[in-house]
Amino acid sequence: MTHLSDRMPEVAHGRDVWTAEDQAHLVGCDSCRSEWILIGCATQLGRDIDGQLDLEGLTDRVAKQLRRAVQARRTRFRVARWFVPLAAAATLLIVFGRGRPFGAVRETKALTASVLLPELELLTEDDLELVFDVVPAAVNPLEQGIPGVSDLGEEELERLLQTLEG
Amino acid sequence: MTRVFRIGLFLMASAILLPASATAQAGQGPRAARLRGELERRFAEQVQQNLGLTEDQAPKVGSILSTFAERRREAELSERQHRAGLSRQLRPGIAANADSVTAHVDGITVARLRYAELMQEEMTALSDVLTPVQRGQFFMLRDRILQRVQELRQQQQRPPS
Repeated sequence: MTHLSDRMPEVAHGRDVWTAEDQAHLVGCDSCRSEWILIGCATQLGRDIDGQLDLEGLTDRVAKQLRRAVQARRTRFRVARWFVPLAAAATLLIVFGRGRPFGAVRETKALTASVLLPELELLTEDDLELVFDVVPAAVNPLEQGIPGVSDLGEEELERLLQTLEG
Repeated sequence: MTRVFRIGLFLMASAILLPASATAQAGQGPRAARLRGELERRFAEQVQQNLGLTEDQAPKVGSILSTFAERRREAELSERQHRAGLSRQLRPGIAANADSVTAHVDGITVARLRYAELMQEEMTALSDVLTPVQRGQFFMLRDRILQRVQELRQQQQRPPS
């Protein structure tokens, strides 16, 4: 790097000129001459493209690509906006709703444990059936039958009709 | 806990674990797993309803029962392995290795003692969560099932008439 280095871009673009002293230095100094040749070449690069470049077309293409990218992102977000809550709800249903019919009365907080009676593991299938005698199923109000329309009274039927008719 | 109670627990453990080797492979299929799952679900429901567990009690009781059930299973497994080893040593016509026989007999005894200790420890742990009445209700509920299991195992052991 010499005192000429700073001025090389200006001279290359025609905004400055070398003095006789500068030119003498460039002839005598290999380093500065190499640098000046490099700057000169760099200045010429792309000069002939300028006229051929379709700037408007290029801008359009870039804008189209951007629009497509934004659109794809929005679509993904729209899908995710529905999919994520649905997946979360399904997960909760699987985790907490196992073995429980839809609409069943929610227990206060069920006693849960992975294994309660490892002693059962030594029984055959037939013997396991026999243990049910001492572990009867709890009475579930839903299993006793859901009242149908025929079970409703006159007043209840009227209310139902009003509800249906709005 | 009195010595009598400890001996009682030990005898109960012995009665439950005694025929273990004969049924070591029992109930391994998917149907057995389903039946066991249903029995455990019903048992949990019974405990929940009969004891009237509060929202605070239920998870604590579940955690205690689950923890001790796993440990009881380990004691049972250890007992089964030692019984199988002892059976191998005592096959007719083959000379038994005295050291192995001793080790298996000791192992079975330790496993049964461990089972009884676990029952006792579990009851102690439950006393921190349940009232004495609830603890008594739980003991009765499970004891009824364990008694049934014991009866069925004894029937398995009986030779066909």
